[in-house]
Amino acid sequence: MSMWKGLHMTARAAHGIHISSRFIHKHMRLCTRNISTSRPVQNDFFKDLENQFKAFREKAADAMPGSDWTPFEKNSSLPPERADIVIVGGGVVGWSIAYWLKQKEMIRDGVRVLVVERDPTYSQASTVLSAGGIRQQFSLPENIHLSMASADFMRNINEHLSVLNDDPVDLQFNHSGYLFLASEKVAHIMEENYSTQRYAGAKVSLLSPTQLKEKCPWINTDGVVLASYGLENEGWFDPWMLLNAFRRKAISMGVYQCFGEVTGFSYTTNTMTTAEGDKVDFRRIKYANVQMPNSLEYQPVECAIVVNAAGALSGKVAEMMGIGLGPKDTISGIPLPVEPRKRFIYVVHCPNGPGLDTPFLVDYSGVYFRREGLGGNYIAGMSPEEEEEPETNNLEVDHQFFQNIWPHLAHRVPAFECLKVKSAWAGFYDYNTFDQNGIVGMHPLVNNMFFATGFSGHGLQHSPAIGRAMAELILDGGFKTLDLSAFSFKRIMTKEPILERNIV
Amino acid sequence: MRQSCRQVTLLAAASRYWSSSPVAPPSKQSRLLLFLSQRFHDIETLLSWSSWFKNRGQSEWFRSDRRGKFSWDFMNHQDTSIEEVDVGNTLINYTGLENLVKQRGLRTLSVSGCAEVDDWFLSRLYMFQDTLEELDISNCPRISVGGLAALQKLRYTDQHGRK
Repeated sequence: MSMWKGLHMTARAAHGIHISSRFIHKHMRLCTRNISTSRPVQNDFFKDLENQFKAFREKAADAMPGSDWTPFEKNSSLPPERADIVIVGGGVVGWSIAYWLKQKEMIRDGVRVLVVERDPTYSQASTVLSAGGIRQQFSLPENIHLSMASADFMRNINEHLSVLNDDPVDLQFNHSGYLFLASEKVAHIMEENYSTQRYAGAKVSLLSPTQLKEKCPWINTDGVVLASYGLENEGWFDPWMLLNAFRRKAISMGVYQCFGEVTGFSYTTNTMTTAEGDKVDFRRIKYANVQMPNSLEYQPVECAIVVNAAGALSGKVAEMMGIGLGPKDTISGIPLPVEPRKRFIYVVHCPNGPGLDTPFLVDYSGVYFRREGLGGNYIAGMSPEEEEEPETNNLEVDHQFFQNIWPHLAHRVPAFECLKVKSAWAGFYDYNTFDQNGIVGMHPLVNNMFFATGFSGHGLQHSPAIGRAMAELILDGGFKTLDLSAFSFKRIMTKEPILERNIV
Repeated sequence: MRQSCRQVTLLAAASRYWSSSPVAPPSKQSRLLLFLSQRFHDIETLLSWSSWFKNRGQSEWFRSDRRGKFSWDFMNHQDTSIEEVDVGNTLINYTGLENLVKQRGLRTLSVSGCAEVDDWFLSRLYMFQDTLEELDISNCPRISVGGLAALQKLRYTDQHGRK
């Protein structure tokens, strides 16, 4: 076609030739359409050569093993047959890891990531049932850095997670800060934590009781010797918005999402003998069996790496691989120490309460509360004692438990003496029974299972930074920005807990 | 130096949508209005040389004139601290506050009409909690309740703001 066009242009000067060339052109087209059969195929073939080659290449790729093409029709809600990385658990940690994996891949479609989530309604997911707070006031530097990095991420969230032609992400971040109160007994811990936090770069300030009373006139400073207030990057936000922002962006980058339950793994075992003569089984996951909801149908997904981000149910997923089912005094006998723990949150209404200025207050008795919305509502909760842990087979709320919280609330904030409980809900912590801190890293015996779980109530606030750390671990082979090697599985094997020195 | 500065300011007029701070140099003691209609990146670097910026004296505003030229008289006044800053209708954002960090005597801040001022910017204003008396955040479309909750950290301030 272009050839003819060129002729057309050069012949423009000579009018007669111009007419004749056009005539010939038209004549040829008429001829090709009606009369000869070999001509049009040849012309079209050369014109479309580029496209023909491309179609041929695609067909060849489909025919090769490793492609997704199957001659049979299959249920499209099944996950793909092959994926590079399977993330078990579609909570905020799982989707954060999926996003960062796609963010860090070096070439387009470099890794195929599949996120498997059991419950599309997220009815029992810890992420959405969380109070949504973020703070830097920890005692471990790793936790402080995780929070700071996550706050930086959330500040620039639209640079990271905005999708073209879609609404910008609005986390509804309330910058009210956390206010921790310490009694005489624990004031020294608060001071040590303060210096750790300042050293790590967190903006925290210590307040004496008089300063506290001046700042928060509604507080009763009886028994309070020291208070620690976070000045920046602390507050609370909407966890559902963060989860959806990660999910939307990750799906736009090509992550596969599947609603199903991982019910088992197929693995190969490599038995090796130690110097003392003990046998150790090294397992490698080959397939993850994903079962469809309400159905017996399942798809074995061939995968290279499995990330266990199943939150409160991570222990069960680890058991599917036999972690913890070996003889008691061996490494394979050490289970993943993560179990669900139920926590209650009560919504109370108090018209004369502290108002807009309320920080997220955590008292030394273990009671915490924060403002919720602008209508005089607050949400309050407390961590129960070890002996009084509620049972975890359901998410029913124990309203009697509020009787433990109310005296402390009323003592601390006199206005709360006349509050009314409006509603309540319960959610699970992915509670690490060993030391209540996250477990991040590979398992020593299962060579391709990574953990990102056990955060015991801090998973949501650390999720952006954890996602980045896991992506670095998987794709780069080691931690690059934040060193989370203190959170590896090794401490569980050597029985050396790293505990947060909280004042509660 | 004047010529090169002029050229730099012309260059500065293009580009940098995400510009950090157009905040001006140090001001003087009583009534200083730094009125900036453009971004002056060279002045940003000058600001970071904190020893320059303490002046004593006048009660007028440093601003750029109609042609966008900024007088260099402020250089004559060193070693006084800025008291009032008006960065209205500029693209100042959270990172831009870096330049104001050392201004411990700031009394008035106006960010009216700034499109990039959001809740995170407000949460960073605790730096001036002891001295800030007036804060104008009118016409900033990106501020929400969460940011206003952060303003509790400012102790003596009257706040003027309208959506």
